[in-house]
Amino acid sequence: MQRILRTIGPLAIFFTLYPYLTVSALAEGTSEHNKLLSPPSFEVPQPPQNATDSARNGKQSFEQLTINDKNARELGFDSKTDAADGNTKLGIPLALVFVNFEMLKNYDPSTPPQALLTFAKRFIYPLVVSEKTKSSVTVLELTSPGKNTQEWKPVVWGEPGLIRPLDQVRELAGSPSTSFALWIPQLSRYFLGNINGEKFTIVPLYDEPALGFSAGIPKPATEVFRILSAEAMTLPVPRRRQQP
Amino acid sequence: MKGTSGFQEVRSSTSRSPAYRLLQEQQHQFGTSSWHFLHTHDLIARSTGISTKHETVPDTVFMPQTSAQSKKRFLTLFSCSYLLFFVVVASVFTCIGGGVLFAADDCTSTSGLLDIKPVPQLEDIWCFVASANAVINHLGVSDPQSTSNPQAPYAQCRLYNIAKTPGIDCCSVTHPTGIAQCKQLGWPDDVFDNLTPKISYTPGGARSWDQVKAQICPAVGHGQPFIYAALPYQGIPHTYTAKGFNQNGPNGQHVLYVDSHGSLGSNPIGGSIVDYDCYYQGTCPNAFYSHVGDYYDIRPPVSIDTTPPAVPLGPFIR
Repeated sequence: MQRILRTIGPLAIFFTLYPYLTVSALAEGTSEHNKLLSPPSFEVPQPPQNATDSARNGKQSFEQLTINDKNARELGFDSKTDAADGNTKLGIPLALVFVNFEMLKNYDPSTPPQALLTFAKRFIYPLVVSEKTKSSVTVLELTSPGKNTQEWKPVVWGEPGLIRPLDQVRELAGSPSTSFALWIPQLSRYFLGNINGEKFTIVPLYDEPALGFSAGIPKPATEVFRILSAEAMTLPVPRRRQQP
Repeated sequence: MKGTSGFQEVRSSTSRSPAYRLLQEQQHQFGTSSWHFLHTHDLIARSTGISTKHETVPDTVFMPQTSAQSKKRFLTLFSCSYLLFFVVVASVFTCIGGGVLFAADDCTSTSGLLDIKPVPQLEDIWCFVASANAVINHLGVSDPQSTSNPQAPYAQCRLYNIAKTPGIDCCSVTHPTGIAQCKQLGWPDDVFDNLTPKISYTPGGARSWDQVKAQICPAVGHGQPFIYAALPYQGIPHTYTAKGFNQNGPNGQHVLYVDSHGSLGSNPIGGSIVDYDCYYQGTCPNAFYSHVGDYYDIRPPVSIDTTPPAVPLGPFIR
């Protein structure tokens, strides 16, 4: 009898505990899986001092780059003298962040929206004249092989029609340090993004009633990506151009 | 900075000078060999009886000249010298006068800007139409089908219809790119080639700094805008119209004046000045574009088509 009990006992214990062991093992696996899927931390990039120095450099040369008054107006100023270094101030910069287009096309709402973001290594600095945002200077981080220091260079001046709504909407949102310019080049679109802890919202810069977007009204990022994903899917697929 | 041959030209002050450019252009007249110097020596020797020929030049090169030949050569030499003198004087004036020669075109040896109104693209993927539209407007080409005004510029939907022959009239649709026929990808050459008469252009790679100046500055060269295309990462190409240049950026940075045709809804993004390296390298380190190609030497239509067959930009997507 004892021999039988010795043989059966461990088996009985194993089969009794099997469901619990299986469930806990699965649970452990799931939690590992969840860890992988947990929102990747995307911290809104803040400009280093040399990026701001570079923007200041770009600001100083703006008047010289402005050919005439007409050109100044195209670039957002009232006149060429308006663009003079003494008349302009650098505003609070916005990091330029772009959306991974392939991920957007195949967007799965269970994917954390932060996973779609990549910092474009650019900061857009508003140029303010008499407390009004008029134009902008964009600086870009240059890669220097073998160097640890970051070098920045002004690469774009002007684009008043972009910086003004961005700045305006950011002012409404009231959280400059957590805001960034969200860029989807493939759809020729810009938004204001805002990440505050786990909360990621996207603010349209202009009305698009067909998509349910209203200027300045924030929407959850998941919803915006879901809407834009449908549009991204309709974009024509480029064909390779024929060889001559 | 990529060490490409085109960009290296920019770094050479000699190659930047108008005199160098003109000499390059007139090279077929001057010739690249030293034959004319030999004849100079010959002429001097004949008139003075003293040989001034360089010692390294073998005497066997000397050919007995007839009087008629000498006269002809003298005239050739005189015209070449005169041309060279003109080039030197022009360069001096350009340098001293701060661009006196180019002032009428708002163009100096270091900066220039064509008076071209920004053209925002009116539909999502109509950048190729917008670029062509900006250039066509600048060339003064009007839409012959406009009934209201014979001088009316082309509407973007008209240019799209001409370029893509979509089978429907995209001008009669409220939101054209909501319809597949009006949402076909294209290139500016689709517009240029299908206009009657055609607009001629040359497709090619990114322009060197001297080539940019020659394209834009009427006093230096062509005097027209040019179009370039860049390909964003994971996307479709976007076209831009370049209409100005300036080498007076911070620390001598070279820049282009560009219409990106961008808009936020119905509001245009406006004019922009773009770093030349970003244009030339396309990728602009850490950015997400690559340079696809340019359309340059764009010329207004002529009634008799003498343009060579258009060569596609290459193995690019369209």
